[in-house]
Amino acid sequence: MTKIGFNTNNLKKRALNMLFILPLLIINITFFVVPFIQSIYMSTFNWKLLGEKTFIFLDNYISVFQDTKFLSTLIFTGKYALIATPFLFITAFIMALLVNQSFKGVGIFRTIYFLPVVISMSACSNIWLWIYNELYGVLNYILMGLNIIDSPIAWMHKASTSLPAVCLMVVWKMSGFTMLMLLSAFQSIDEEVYEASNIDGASAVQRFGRITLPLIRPTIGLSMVLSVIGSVLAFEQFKIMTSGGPSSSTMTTVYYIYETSFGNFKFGYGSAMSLVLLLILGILSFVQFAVMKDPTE
Amino acid sequence: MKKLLSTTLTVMLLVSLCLGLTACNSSTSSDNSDSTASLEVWVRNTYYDEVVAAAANFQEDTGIEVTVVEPSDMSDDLALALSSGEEPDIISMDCVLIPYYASIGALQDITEEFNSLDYADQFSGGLIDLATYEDSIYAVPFSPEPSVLLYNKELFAAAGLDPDSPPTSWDELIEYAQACTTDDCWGYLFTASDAGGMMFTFGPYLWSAGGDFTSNGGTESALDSDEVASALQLIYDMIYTYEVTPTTITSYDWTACEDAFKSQNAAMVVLGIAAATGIVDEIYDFDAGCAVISGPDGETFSSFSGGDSLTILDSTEYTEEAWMFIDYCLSEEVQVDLLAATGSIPARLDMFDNDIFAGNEVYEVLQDALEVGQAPYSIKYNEMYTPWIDAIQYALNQEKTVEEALSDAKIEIDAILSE
Repeated sequence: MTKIGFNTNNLKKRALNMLFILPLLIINITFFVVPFIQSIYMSTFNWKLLGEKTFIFLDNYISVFQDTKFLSTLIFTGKYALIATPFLFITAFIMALLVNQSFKGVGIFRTIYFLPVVISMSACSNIWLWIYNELYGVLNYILMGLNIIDSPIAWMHKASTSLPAVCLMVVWKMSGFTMLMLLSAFQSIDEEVYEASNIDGASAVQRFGRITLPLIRPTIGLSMVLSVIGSVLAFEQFKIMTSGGPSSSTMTTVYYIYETSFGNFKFGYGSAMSLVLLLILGILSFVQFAVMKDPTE
Repeated sequence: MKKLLSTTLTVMLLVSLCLGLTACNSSTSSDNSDSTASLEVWVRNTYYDEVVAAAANFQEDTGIEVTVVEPSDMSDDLALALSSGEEPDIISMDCVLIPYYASIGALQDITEEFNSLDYADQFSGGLIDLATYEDSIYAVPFSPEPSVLLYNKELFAAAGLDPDSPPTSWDELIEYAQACTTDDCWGYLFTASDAGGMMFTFGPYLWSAGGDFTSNGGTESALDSDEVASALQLIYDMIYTYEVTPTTITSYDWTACEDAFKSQNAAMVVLGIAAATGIVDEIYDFDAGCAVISGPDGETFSSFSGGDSLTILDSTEYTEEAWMFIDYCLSEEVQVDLLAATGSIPARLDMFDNDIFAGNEVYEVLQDALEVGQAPYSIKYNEMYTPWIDAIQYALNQEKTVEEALSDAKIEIDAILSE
C-alpha cells in the first residue's frame, strides 16, 4: 500500500513538473522546432513567394558552398566577431570588477552601465550614426578639439574604419549585459573561501587567479558563447550604419540571408544559408564550451 | 504508469496545439464569412492618418467597412502575408515592385477598370509603365514621389550667383557647385550609400544623358552604354576633378544629405517631395529653392518617379468594393483636400490647378518632375540593387574605373535577369 501511495505521489509530482514546463515547451515547439523543421523542408525547394515550389533536394546547399558572396560575408562576420567579442568581454569584466565594490552609490553606476542594454539596437545604431557623422558628428568635434585629428573622419566610408566604429557602439550597448552576468558570478562566490585564503596568506593576485577566475569560469564561458552568437547574428547595426557598404564590404551573413530571403524572395536558398550558419554556430559553441569546460569535472 | 503519463501529456500537448490552431482558423473564418463587405488596406506611415480619414468618409458614404493597417515593413510583411494567405485587399505599394508582384500573380488585372476612368490619361507615363505587366495594368498611381534638386538661395547669393536661377545643364551644375564650395560647405551632395537612395538621386542623370538601367523590357542590363558612363563620370569628376562633392560620398545616406542641406553644409542636394514641400512649409532656416534635375545640354531634365500606387490583391473577395475605394482615393477630396495637407502631391496631373498648387513655384517644379519621371523597370528590381550600388561605389571610391565598374555590374545583372 505504502509503495502504491509513494508511486502515486511521485507521478503527481512529475505530472505537476511537466505542467509547469508545458507553456515553455509549447512556445519552444511553436517558435523554434516547427520553424526549424519548416526551414529544413524549405531549403530543399526552389521556394517562390507564390506559385509552385520545385523540389531540388540539395541544390541550394551546393549553391551555398559555391556562393563567393556568402563566403565573403562569413569572413567579414568572423572578423567582426573576433574584434567585438574580446573587446566586449574585457570592457564588461573591468566594469564588473569596478561595480563589485561596496561603496556609496555603486547602484547608480551599475544602473548607468546597464542602461544601454535596454535601448534597441536600431535606436543605438541611429544615435551612433549621428555621433560618427562626418559633417556634424560630436566624435570628430571632440577629436579635433583634442588635436588628435586634423580633419573630420568619415567613419562609415571604409570597412577599415566602419568595422571598429560599429564594434565600439556594440561594446557600449552590450557590455552592461555581460557585466551583469559576471557581477552575479563574482557575488556568488562564498566569502568564506576568500577568508580561508587570507588565513593561508594568499595575495590579492593569487586570490584572483586561483579562486575568482576558476569559480567564475562557467560564467565566462557562457558570456563568451552568448557574445559570439550575438556577433555572428549581427544585422541591424550594419544595415543601419553602413548599409553593408561600401561595395558590400561590410555585409554580414545574416544581412545577406535577409536580403536573399526578403529582398530577392529566394526563401529556399535563404533557408539553406540559415541552416549552414546554424551549423557553424553550433560547432563554434561546442568548441567554446569544450575549451571553457572545467578540466577537473 | 510512466508510459501512461507520458502518453497523456503528449495528447494534452497535441490537443492544446490543435486548439490553438483551430482558434486561429476560426477567427479567420468568421472575418471572411461576414456578409458585409469589409476591406483591409495597407499603407505606409507617411499618410496613414489621411487614409484612415478617407476610409471613414468612404464608409460613411457606402457602408463598406475599411480597415487601414500600417505594416512595420511593407515588403517583409507582404511577403509573410502572401506566404500565409493572409494578405489584405488593397495595398499602397512601392511602384517599382509592381512588375514583380504582378508577375507572380499576386495582383489583380485592373486594365478594364482603369481604362473606364475619365481621368485615365492624367497620370505620369512613367508610373503607368511601372503599373503595367505584359500589356495589362495592375495598379493606379496614388502618391508619387519625384526626385528634384534643392538649393540654398542664400549660399547662391553669397557666391555671386543668381538665387532664382538654378543650374539648367551639367556645366552650370559644376560651375555653381564650385562657386558655393567652401571649407564648411560642399557644393553638391547625393545619396550614394544605399541602392534605393542612389537610384533616386543618381538615376535622373543617367536618363537625361540618354542612358537607362535596363533595356528590352527589363530583361537586360544597359549599364555598359556610353551614356551611363558619362553620367557616372560627371559625379566622379565632381568629386575628384572639381572637388565639389566629398570623396566620402559613398557614406552619405538620405538623412546625412538632408541634414547637411538643413545645416547649410551643402549648397545643392537631390532629395524628394518631403524636402521640397518643406520649402512651402518653411522648415528651413534659410531661403531654399527647388529645381528639376537638368540634363547635360540644358534642354532636357529628368526625375526618378517613386512613390506608391494602389493595387488590388488577387485573393480579395471584394474586387468591386476595392475598386470603389481606389476610385475614391483618386478623387479631389482625398488627393488634394486630405493628402496635400501631408505634403504629398496629387497622382493626377489635372489636380494641380487649384488654390493649393497653382502658382506655387515648388509645386510647379514637382509637377514638371512628375510628368517626366521614370524608374527602372524589372521584375527583379530588388535583385539588381546590390550590383548597382556596388558598381557606383567601386567607381566613386576609385577601386575600379567607371567603365570597369559598369561592365562588371552588367555581367552580374545579366546573370540575375537570365535566371
